[in-house]
Amino acid sequence: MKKGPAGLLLLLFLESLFFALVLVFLVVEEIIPILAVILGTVVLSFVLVKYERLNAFLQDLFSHYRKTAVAWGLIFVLALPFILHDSPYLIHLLFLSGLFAVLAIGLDFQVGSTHLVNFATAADYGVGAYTAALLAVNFGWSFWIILPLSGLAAALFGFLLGLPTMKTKTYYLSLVTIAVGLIIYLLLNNLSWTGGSDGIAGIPYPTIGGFSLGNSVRLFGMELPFQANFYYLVLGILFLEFVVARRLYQSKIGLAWNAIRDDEIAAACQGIDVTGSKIMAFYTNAFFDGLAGAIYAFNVGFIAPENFAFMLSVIVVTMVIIGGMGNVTGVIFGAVIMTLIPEKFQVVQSYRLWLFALIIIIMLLARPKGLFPQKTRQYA
Amino acid sequence: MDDRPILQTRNLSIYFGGLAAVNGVNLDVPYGKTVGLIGPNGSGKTTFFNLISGIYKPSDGEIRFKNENLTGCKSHQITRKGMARTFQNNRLFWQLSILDNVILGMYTKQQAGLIDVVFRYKRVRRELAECASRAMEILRYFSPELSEQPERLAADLSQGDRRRVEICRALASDPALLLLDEPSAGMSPEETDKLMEDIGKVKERFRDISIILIEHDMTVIESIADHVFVFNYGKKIAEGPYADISRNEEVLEAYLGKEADDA
Repeated sequence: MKKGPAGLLLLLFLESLFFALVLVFLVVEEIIPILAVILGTVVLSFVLVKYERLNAFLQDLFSHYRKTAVAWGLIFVLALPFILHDSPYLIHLLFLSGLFAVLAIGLDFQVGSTHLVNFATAADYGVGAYTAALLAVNFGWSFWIILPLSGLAAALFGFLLGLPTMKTKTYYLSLVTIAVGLIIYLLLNNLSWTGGSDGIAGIPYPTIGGFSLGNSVRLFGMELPFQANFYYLVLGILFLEFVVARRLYQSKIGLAWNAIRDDEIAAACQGIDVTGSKIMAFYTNAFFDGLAGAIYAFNVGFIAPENFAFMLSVIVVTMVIIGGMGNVTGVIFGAVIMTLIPEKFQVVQSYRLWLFALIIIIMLLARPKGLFPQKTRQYA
Repeated sequence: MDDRPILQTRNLSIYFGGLAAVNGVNLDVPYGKTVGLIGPNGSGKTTFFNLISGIYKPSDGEIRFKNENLTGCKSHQITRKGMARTFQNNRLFWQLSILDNVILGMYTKQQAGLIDVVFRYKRVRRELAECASRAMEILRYFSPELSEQPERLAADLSQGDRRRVEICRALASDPALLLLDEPSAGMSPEETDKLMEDIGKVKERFRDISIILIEHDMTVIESIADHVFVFNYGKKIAEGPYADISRNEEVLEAYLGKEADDA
């Protein structure tokens, strides 16, 4: 039954149902329906864990119509700004989700693949954002030149951060990264050339051939708010990172990272340069953080140290844990969920950290490998 | 073939605090031979392995491998020179599949780096596919059953299968010298028989390979080792063919204790 038109229809129906749920979750603002959607998702995930046959059936269905399923998903993601063109704020939220997904996939190189629980994401991100802001404000360079430069600056920072961190392991490594994150935060607050606690203002919108990304676009008779431009920009970067992450995973580098995660000594005895590989995880992660930082700076036009505080690093770590360490798709889900949920609970803003803690504890108890665990590599 | 030994140690020593875990060991492993390393618990056999495979840095002495001084080199550098090992308490990559584990044994054979991964991924894929088919071949050679379920996680395997995967992983790098650290530990007699068969298969297929085998099971040593070294308190106390060693008084003393010293 599953390898016919009926199967295909079922798949498209299920996927559309999922998209509809996402939309409801995005649009609705009352707390009760939101809670219902969240609860429903949790129950569904438990059902899938409990009934393995159903789970296997769905996975089979998905992998059989993989291309169609992905294409349908892509259409939905690309169409979102059109569906939501009346609410720029929601599109901005989606942009932020994408930005966090970029950070989370990068961090997964370390946390998921290599088990380096790095709490310095905010520092990498900040280095990227400040590089972008300083170059834009002081030299007036184009965004498209600044973007890769910010990535490289952050990568260099990640590399330098990696060097001393290599002397430590596990919790101690995390402590070192926390310390470095705090140092960067304090430096940004106190250096005069970064604007101190006032930050840097007046970063112009990026332009493409004279068209500023700060302008709205008329497409198919619809007025898309300027937030949509940034949404598509971040989608582009996310797509690139997704491809790179998948390739890294299915390469000797990804294998080496996993080997180091499971057993460092055995990894070294396979000829893996453990220190070098770990540092590579640091700078590849930092590179993408830097890109995200630059995009953020150009999106908001004004950055301050507060945007790069320790909490941001913690949030990105939770995204990786919830989504599924070592699973790129899962990490994207984790990032989107964890960006949207707090926004939806504005009412309970002050309990946000409680909520995060609760979600993490539940996840670690119920599904320690995340919503989407790492998959076994296929060689064919 | 070269007459000179593949591995030579001269005065090799390591001290942990005041304790000399390995103390002035001179040892020659001839090309293409299987040598046994025996001795009571705590006599420094595994420490000796950790020294020559670069996990520990020697406090004193020299390690020569294929006529090259490797003293002070790190594990990954030594592996690249053609040495591979297994561990006393199996150190597989538990969360990875059997096939991933064996492919990781070929890490040094793969050339593709970060640039290739990002810009020339086809090359990476081709290389990985080649490694995968070679890994499958090795698995099939040692265990057709394992080769039929290459995607099983290493953590889900039985003790005997874990050891077998570890040996496959070590062989995947095409080593000139293979170090086996007590492969029969924790195995049933049947599994031990199977293990001896496997080591025989290794020698059959990799004809030039030299093997150092740490073993407590003397039947394994007797049937496999061409030459035996005996360690006690970090020192080499005897060497020779098993037949001689098994009658050596000092060796018997090390294992059974002298009657006068029993106190």
